[in-house]
Amino acid sequence: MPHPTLPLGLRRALCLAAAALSSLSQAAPTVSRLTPPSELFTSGQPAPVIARFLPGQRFDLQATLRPDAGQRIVSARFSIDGVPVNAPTALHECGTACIKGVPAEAAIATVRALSVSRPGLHQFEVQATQGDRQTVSARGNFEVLPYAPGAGPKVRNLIILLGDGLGIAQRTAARVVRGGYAQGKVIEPLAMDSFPATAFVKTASLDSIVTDSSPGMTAYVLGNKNNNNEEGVFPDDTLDAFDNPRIEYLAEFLHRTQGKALGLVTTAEVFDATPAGNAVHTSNRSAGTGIVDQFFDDRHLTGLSVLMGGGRRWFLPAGTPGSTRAERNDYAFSTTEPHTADLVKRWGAAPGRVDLQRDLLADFQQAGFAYAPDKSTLDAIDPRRADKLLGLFNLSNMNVALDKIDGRRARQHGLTEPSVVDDHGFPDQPMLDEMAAKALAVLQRQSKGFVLMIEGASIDKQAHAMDTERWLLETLEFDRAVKVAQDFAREHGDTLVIVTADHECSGAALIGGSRVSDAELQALAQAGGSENLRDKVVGTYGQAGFPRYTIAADGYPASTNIDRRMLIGYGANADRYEDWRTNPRPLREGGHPFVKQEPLASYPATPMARDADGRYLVTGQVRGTAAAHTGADVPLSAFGPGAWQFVGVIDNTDVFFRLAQAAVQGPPAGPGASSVKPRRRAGP
Amino acid sequence: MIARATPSGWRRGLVAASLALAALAAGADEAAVLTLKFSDFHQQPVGPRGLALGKQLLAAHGRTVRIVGYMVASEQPQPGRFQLTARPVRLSEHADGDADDLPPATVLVLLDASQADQVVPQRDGLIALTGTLAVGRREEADGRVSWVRLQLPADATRRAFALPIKAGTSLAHTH
Repeated sequence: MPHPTLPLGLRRALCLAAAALSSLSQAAPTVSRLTPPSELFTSGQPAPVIARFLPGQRFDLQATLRPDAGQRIVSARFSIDGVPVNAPTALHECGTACIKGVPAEAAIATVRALSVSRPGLHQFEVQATQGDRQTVSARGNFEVLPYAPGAGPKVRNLIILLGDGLGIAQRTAARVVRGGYAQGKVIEPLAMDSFPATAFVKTASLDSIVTDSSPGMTAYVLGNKNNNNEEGVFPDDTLDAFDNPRIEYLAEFLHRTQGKALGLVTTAEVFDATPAGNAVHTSNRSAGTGIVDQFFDDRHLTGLSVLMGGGRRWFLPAGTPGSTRAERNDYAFSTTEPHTADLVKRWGAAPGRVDLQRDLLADFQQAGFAYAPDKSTLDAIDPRRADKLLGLFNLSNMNVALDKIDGRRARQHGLTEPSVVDDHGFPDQPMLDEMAAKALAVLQRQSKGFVLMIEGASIDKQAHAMDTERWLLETLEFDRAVKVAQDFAREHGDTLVIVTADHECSGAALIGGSRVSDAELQALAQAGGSENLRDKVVGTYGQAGFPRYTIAADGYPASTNIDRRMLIGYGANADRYEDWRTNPRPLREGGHPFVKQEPLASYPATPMARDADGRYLVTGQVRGTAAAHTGADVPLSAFGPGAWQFVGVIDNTDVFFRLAQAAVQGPPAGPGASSVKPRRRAGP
Repeated sequence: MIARATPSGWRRGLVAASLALAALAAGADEAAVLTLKFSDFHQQPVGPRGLALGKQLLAAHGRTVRIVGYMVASEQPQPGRFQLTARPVRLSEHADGDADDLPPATVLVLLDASQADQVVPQRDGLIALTGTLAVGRREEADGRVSWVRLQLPADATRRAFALPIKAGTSLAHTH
């Protein structure tokens, strides 16, 4: 490098000479990926800052280093703010273990489980040397956010209610059905509508304006963006789905620093993206075997004490019929190769094992978890005697609320015709609010408090199917769980509750109400065509009026096929036939073991098959048969101490820092006060 | 007609095979053929753990069986095999991976070894297949676990006109 004190002309000449010499020799090695992700590395711009952490929150540093042809990377080291990182750097040559396009001689340099305590913007750098001593360096940045002074006691418990796909239209529509309107005023609000603070949440993921459920969930409990399909990790260049750079989850951070427990309750399979996105670190949300294993293996890191939902098939030994445990989606870390051995040494993670015959159900039970395969058993578990609970109520996703309620009503009335839940082989499944109540009863025994995530999973799944009544009742079921959590928080006073969504699904729109009775609607469906099912049915503006549903004693509509019913349209829809009436059977849930028995034979296979009698085809704007997620903001409402932090238009990652603020320092003073402020200046 | 085997460009399946359904039953000894229903696969309701395989299914192991079902529509068709189940199913392997909608009572249908590089194009509607049934867990090369397999004879397929398989026809979704 020319000396800065040399005359300018001479320096330029020396630079040109050096460049000429360089062009004759090999190019220098390069850095093709630097983690945590930053605009400083990607575009050279210091803002916006992509990665943000709590003081002391753990994360990994990583770089993908590409040497010249015939060379190897022989060393790499990281520094933060110019100070070498005081931790070992694992250097892992790709060989055949990296993704397409990354050469075999490339090396992955990683420092595991680092944390920074000093708040502020930090620069980090990787410097690497290849065999001929040529070097390369690259810089990125991240921010450590400070806590604000707490203005009240620390919050003991955090409850996150996640309505998967619950956008504003889904919430409004559920309010119309559940509470009803009189002359423009709501007769009875939803529980989530009674929360005192509400924000709009921006939901984009690390790699798209439209997130899927993995990064949609993890942003709330990591403070960072993940790629779609990934949970608890930053993207990397290796093929291993479990070796990515990790970020410490809220539950892990609060378990490590405060001893809090974790509860996960969902109506989906428990390995699904939303529950796993609170405790499992993987770049493959579909890796069922490894995900459920890691739930158990790393419970000492997460404090996992309650796990309820569907997905029993992953917990059964491979020899048990119905098991889907598979070698390809299990996980195991080498304890000698530093790249993964440091996950064990520095994170304290379990090494894992490819163990298809593992009886994970028995492992949970032997570890002290009470096990409930159905509602009756769940009811019988005495929370005074059980401090850990596993509930697996279906082999795949649990049946949806509409069908569970239909099954209960059929039994109450002594009907002998099998209901949907009978057909699926699981006639005794609990409702989400019942699961939530039991989870809280168990978790409230935790001496250090808890983090509890409760997911209404099939709001999204039924919105994908554009099955209006089914996602409506899913939302009502979810709101009943919200009320359970709110009542708990009201009683205990030390619990902060938020209710939100990971993303909106289907572009649902409350377009109005039917202008006809249900009997007339059926007749128009028989006649068919848009001239009948659209022109004579769809009432907009004043024609919509106020649809009035009768709520039965069980809390759900006595019937969804009412006169002058509410009508929903879809903005991110696939092609579908529409007759506005409740579909008598759910779309096929292929994971259920008895789907092909004769009682299910009449179930429609796709939205196109459903309602086709009416011949009113609504042309879709997305390909296929399923509606898509949208990039619209979602509402978030908060209740309890610190609720006023959740106002304005905020990023989904902001939520993490406000939850942590409440649990670590106590809520800050004043409505809207927060330690999270947008950073506009460039540089540290 | 050239059929593209997979969206990833894997092109071993240069010649697609289509099912010669009408010929299936003709070659089989009617008396030796056992008719099997998907509803025979499991007992219900499901207990606290896994599935209890049905007696009819277990008795069919190693036998020549005839079964009627729907060919599973796959986003990434595999040469030499396809899946059959009792109701129409569309897979979206790219989005859902192993978290798919296949019921446990799915039959993995295997073409004859001489046709291992051939792709059977998607066909809708019920189809009847006759072959040798095998019951028991097997982890396939793609990581999926199969519990029931149906080995077709060589004359179950024939090289014929087939529509090209469209790439990116996923009908499933992430959630």
